[in-house]
Amino acid sequence: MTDIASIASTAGVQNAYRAASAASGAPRAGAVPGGESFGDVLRAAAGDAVGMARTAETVAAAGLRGEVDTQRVVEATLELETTLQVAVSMRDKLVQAYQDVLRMQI
Amino acid sequence: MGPLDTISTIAASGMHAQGLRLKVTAENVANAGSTGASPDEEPFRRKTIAFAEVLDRGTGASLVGVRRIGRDRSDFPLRHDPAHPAANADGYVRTPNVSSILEMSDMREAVRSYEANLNMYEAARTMRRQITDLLR
Repeated sequence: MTDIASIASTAGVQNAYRAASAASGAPRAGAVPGGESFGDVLRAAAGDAVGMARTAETVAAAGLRGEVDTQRVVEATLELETTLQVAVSMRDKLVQAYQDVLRMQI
Repeated sequence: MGPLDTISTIAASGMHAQGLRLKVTAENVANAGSTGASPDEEPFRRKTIAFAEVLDRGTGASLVGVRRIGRDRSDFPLRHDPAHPAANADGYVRTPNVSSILEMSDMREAVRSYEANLNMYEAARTMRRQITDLLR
């Protein structure tokens, strides 16, 4: 059974999902031949989010040092905000789905 | 990169360009009284700015960039001021070819254009937020 703490991040959810599908030996749900699976999409989105957060942090630091103009700092911060909103919304959806499964009557 | 993300980049390039334009205007206004210290020395020559389309390689979008910052070649107005250190033998001083009315209208135009780009940025951001809100 997956530890609930590992659900705390989208990457955790993704790993849990991969572990579960590997353990059952079943083909991954949503895996289309020649297309990208839901897991791949999720992995790419999570990777983008982390990269965006790092960039925004670097730009903000450079802005405080006076190396980058204010406009660039604002752009990077807004970009980070948008990415974070998407990431958090995705996580909420996944946690909700997990709880729905837990509450399922058998 | 989706179109909405590209709009942010395009509008940001527009805002940056208008910022540079205002900077050039500020330089002109600040140097409106910069005559030389001797009759041989040229007074400040008004700066001009020209924009051009810049193709963004990543997205194929048309951004705006500064093509070049040049100098206004028009003649310097003469002012009669024999006591001035830069006055010539006839008592005339060459003053910078900066017209304050022209600079003020340039300033207004830069500000309005900046606002237009800012509104575009805001509109794209609102659209992106609305699509993200669907996840909630």
